[in-house]
Amino acid sequence: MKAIFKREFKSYFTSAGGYLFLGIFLLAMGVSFVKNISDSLKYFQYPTTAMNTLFRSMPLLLSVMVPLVTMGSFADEKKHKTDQLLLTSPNSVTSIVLGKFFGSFSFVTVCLLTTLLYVAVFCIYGTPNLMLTVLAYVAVILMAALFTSIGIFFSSLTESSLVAAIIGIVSFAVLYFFGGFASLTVVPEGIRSIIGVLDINQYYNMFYRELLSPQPFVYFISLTVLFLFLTVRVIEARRWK
Amino acid sequence: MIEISNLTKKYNTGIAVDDISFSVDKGEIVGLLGPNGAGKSTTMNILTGYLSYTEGSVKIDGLEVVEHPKAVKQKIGYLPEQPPLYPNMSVYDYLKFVYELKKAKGNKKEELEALMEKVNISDMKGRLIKNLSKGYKQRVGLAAAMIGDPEILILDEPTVGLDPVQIIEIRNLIKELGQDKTVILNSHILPEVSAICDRIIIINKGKIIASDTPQNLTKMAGSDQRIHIVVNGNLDDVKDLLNHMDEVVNFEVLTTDDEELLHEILVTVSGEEVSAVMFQKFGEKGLVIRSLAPHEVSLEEVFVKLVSEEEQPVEEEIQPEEEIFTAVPEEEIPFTAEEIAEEATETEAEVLTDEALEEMASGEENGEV
Repeated sequence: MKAIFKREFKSYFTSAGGYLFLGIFLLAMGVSFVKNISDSLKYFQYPTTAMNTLFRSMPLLLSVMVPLVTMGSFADEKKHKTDQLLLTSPNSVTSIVLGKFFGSFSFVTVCLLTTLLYVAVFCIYGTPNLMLTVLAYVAVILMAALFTSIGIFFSSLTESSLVAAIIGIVSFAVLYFFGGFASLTVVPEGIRSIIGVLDINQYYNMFYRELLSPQPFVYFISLTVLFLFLTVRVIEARRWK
Repeated sequence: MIEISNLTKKYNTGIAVDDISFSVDKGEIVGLLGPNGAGKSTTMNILTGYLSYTEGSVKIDGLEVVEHPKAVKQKIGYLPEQPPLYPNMSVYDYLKFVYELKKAKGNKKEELEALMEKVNISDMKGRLIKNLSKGYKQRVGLAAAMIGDPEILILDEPTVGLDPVQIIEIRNLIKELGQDKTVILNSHILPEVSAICDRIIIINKGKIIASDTPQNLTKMAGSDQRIHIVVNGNLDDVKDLLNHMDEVVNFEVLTTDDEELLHEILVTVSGEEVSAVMFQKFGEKGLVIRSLAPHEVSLEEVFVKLVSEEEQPVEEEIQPEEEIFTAVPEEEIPFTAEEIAEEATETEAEVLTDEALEEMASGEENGEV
């Protein structure tokens, strides 16, 4: 697992793709930081120091960017036939999947941690709420873990990383807009409750609304594990084809 | 060391490997041979634990592959058909990754340096794999397979894409490795297999159709005796005589020289002491046999014969002129009947013998200088 993790994580820094991703992410965060400050100045006459408002658009940003990080995870291995190397090495499928997952997840986390720069700015010019700041990071990191796990699952289904990215982005977009769909009055009650369960936004906001409620933790962690498990099954099933 | 019994692998589309059994002893070099799609690579993928199988058992050192995947995989070094390389890694980084992946223990740096020296890629150490030529990629793959000093090496077409010099190097390397390791290799180049391997297993359509030493296989296909003669005389007379001889099964005129009335003929005969009878009968008709020699069967012929016997109904007579691989256009057939016959006239009937390759190689080198 360690070897695979190391290779996976390093691979983002040996190709242009990783840097491009990091650049776009930093640009998006910078724009949203400036907009966040100017908005709060406009409406509240004082600049906000809350990371959670800065991370408001994070679900949308991650749903576009994480599939781009994970798209090659298993699809490229299949394309270059390097999956033969991994699967004939003395490592279990689970440890291969975990190595891959932690490699991609660590890269996404490194990207997210670059925003600590903004926390530093807040600390210099104000006194941000420590609890809210920590919670904001826990929330986005758990969400990133779930998206990474789903992204890797999609990547294991296909040999084309482009297809994996498209399926990922489309699915996340659907999940993201699910909440809005549920609020339509024409939607029957039964379906609305199913949508409620799948609505990532609702659980993401729950981190702040119901402080330290276990519900969002359980939701994100269990779904992450579920998709990792499914990925292991997909790869094992391929041997039987 | 390796024991495969009643192995069957079914895909949705059909059977890839059909009830095959064989075993390989420690220190043996075994060649799997067969036309494309015969099931060679599938067998190798099963041995290495990459694919699972439908029925049967595969044991390595007494351990069932599916039950003890980790222990078994630790013993095997595998070079798949397409070397599993990461294009964006440098050669050394890649080998280092494989070293860690295989959980090899020892002095990493020293071992990897020695391996790179062995397959001659030390100069390419820092290069990105995507910038390497096919031959170098193949050698990096081979080095990766050898990492961790596995007891068994499984090599899927190890010399494909290499130039003649490299082919000799790799063949010698495999022979050297075969002294203390068990090697299974897979090829459709017959002379290569006969040059390296102690034993050949011929597979066709997922079934083993022969398994023996190269020498015995050659003998086996020679059950129909063939005699190569050069006759002096009128060709029509010669044909007439051969047609009327009971001992002659069939014959084929290879070359004729009308001016000197010399004809080169390959005669398939049956019975005892045929040469004596031939000398006598030809003499009676005033035809002079200038030379008469038993025809050495090359491994190509064994292969074509065995595979074609599988593919044609028994009652149909095998016509050597007929194409075996009907789906392949004529000009792409690797070994046509004419080619085989031509080669057969020479005592060394192999297309790519080591000597021939060395000649080519030295010619190439001279040309470059």
